[in-house]
Amino acid sequence: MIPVIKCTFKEMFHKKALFFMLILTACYLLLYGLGIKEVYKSVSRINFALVTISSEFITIGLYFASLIVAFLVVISSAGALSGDVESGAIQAVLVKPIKRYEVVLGKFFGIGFMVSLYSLFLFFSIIFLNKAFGAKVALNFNQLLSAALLFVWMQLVLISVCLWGSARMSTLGAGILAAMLFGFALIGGWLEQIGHLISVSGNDSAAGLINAGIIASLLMPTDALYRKMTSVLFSSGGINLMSNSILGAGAEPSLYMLLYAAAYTVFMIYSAARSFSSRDI
Amino acid sequence: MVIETFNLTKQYDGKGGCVDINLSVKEGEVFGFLGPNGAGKSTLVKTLVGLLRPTGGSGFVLGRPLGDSKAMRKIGYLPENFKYYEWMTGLEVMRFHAELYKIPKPARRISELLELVGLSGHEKKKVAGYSKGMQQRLGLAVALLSDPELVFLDEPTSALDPVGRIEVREIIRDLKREGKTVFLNSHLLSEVEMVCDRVAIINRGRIITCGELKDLLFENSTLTAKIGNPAEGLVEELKSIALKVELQGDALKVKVAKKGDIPSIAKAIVQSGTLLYELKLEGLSLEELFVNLVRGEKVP
Repeated sequence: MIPVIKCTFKEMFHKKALFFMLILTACYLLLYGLGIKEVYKSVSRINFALVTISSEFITIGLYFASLIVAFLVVISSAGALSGDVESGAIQAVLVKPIKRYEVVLGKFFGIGFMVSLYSLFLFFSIIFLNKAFGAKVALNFNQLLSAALLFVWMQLVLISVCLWGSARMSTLGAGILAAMLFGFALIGGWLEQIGHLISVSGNDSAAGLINAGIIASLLMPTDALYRKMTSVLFSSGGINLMSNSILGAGAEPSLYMLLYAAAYTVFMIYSAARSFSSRDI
Repeated sequence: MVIETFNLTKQYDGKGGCVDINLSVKEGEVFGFLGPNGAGKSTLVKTLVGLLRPTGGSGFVLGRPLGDSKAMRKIGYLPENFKYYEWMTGLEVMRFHAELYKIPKPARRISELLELVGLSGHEKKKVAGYSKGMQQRLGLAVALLSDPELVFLDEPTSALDPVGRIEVREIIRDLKREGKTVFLNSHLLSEVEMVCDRVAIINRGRIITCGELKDLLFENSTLTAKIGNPAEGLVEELKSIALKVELQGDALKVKVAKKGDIPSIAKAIVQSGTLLYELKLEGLSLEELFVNLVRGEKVP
């Protein structure tokens, strides 16, 4: 499995997509940095507002960063197996003393490692920019570490879905499936959060929206992990600063949701390995 | 047996592929597997190396079930349609596959093989810049990397120039000299005729003939005797020795079952008082045999 991990990791460096993503990332961080610098400068005198604004800006920054990483994940992993099948590159690999599930795992770890590094870089860049330009939100080491791991985890879930698709269908099909599920999860997350916001006023449709969000999270738990991350980052003394933000979490995803997300990831990889093992090449 | 199959079948939605394949390939032989395009050659090879799952029957390669990863240590495979990762150099491709084989310190072996297939000096170029022929040479080097006991070569010379084809033939002969078994899948009949000990011909997914190449060619050859004053009853007498006898003017066309019958035919002609001027065995080339069999085969 190690040679496949190494090969997959190196292959990522040779993809034009990564180069494109790095440029996009640099542009995004530059634009984001300039934006928050101006905002922090203009509200620096109102200390109370600064705490809320800092949380809001970090959340926005991480939200769009997660979209950028997700884009990279879909581009790099939708064809991880199917692309090699389509080009014939996998043929010589599989006629070696290696089990097919090892190839699937090798692809997962290879892409996962690279994406994790990239995600961590983006995560800490967003935090650093906010802190550097005057964010007034207290973040301790444990909070940062937990949130960073959740940020990485949501991308690992997406990789597992891409591999699940890539093991059984074409690159295009796998890409569309993963992108649609990710989008579905995003919309579900928004609906759930809107449901929580309007439930305060006793709106009848709130329960429906919240349930729609939960169903979306069951189909694809990426957004639930994102909401959990915001809760971990901005909860202090039982108060979640981002509970009333559209990008925050009105109700913090439970431990069961985390366990579900873990089981979901494992099942997707297991199913990808099973499917790829019985696939005609 | 290095390869054994029992009614091995691989079909796609009940169609195409190969059906009821019963093959035995002995250790140390070069086995040619022939057939027209779409006959099921590559399907069988891919099934034997575990890339395709059989839909029926069974098979063993190096004594292990098809697709067994332990057997893969001793197998080399050059696929027909393949591409290596284009971002790698030829050397990186070799190193990657050496790692997959878990070959310790592969540098020397890699260098020898690159030299053997004529890629020395090109090993640091990216595969994306390789011609089709160079990719095929690299594929051959990868197939030989683990010093395999059994090598599957699926159309190994399809992209090579005449010099390249001769070189590959030499490599196959060297493998045979080293006692390796080669399963050569090709539709280049002259190539097969030059290197193979035994052949099987497949058409429409089924094997239509299989055996020692020289026997197959002999079975389909004709003994022609130029004679004068044919004795009465000669044809009848020869029919007791030969499979088929025809007198066409001064030429006697005889089909014999085995080479050992030829002296008996000559003796019978001479003893009958017939004048024997010339005796010639006119064999078929593999190409003629192939065409006759494929065209003449009735659809099952």
